[in-house]
Amino acid sequence: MSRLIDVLSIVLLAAAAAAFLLGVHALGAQKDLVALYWLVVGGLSLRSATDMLRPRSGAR
Amino acid sequence: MSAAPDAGVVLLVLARVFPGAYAWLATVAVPALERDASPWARVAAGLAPLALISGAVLALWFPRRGRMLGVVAFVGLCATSWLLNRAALDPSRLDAVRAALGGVGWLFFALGWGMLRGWGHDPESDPNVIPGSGLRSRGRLPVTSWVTVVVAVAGALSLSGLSWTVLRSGHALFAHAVALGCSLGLVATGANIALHHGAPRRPLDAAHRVEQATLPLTALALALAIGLVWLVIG
Repeated sequence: MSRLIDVLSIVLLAAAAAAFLLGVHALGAQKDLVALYWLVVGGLSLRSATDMLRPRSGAR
Repeated sequence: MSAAPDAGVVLLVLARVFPGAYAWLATVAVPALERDASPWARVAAGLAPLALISGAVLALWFPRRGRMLGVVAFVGLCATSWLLNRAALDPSRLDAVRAALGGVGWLFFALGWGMLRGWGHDPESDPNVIPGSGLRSRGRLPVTSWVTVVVAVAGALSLSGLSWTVLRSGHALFAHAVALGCSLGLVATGANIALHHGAPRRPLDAAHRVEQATLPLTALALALAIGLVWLVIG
């Protein structure tokens, strides 16, 4: 199961990279709202991948 | 004070001066020489290489003062010249190729001022070296760590390249800033994941790891659902 979560964290990292690329591409295509959407999706993917790594301060 | 400069010293000075001079020429001197540049921008641009060269020479005997002059004063004068010459730096007037080459120059400028092993110096011959066999790594990183690093670095490099396709004058600089921030985030997170995969002990089990990421995962799912609805309606 832990192995699966490791793979999921890599998938989330790749998804974040893809979302950021789509965001910058949309910025170049003059689609600012679409760019903002993809940058938010990328940020959330990156945050999800990070939060799976180590215990937060105050965590059990 | 050392004696006559040898080849190593000359190379050290050149390694610090040449990349900075190139970056200055490509990104500071050219805009400062344009017709509408302010005189103060030209003065700052003219003083910058003097600070660079004198700092590189001074650093041979006084490293801290040399760095203050060759790095802080040089970069400060370049930045001052840019601030006083904003019209010439309008994205619509920038030459993308020259700016990119200048960026490479600034990269090598930073590397040139790094602390390198002295020319012909063997660290193992230092009297403070503790004798004995070298320390070897106690483990190897798994394949998933390397995959993670490749994904992160490829994503970061692609972002940096893609940001050059944003041509709108008001958005070009913003795109570069966004690409830089996202690239740093990708590389930092990728490095954390890669090291975590290679760690001998995991602090948490799988269920706790998913539980910790509940909030961003829920927000991500919500964002994807909104995107799907947007796609269908739009």
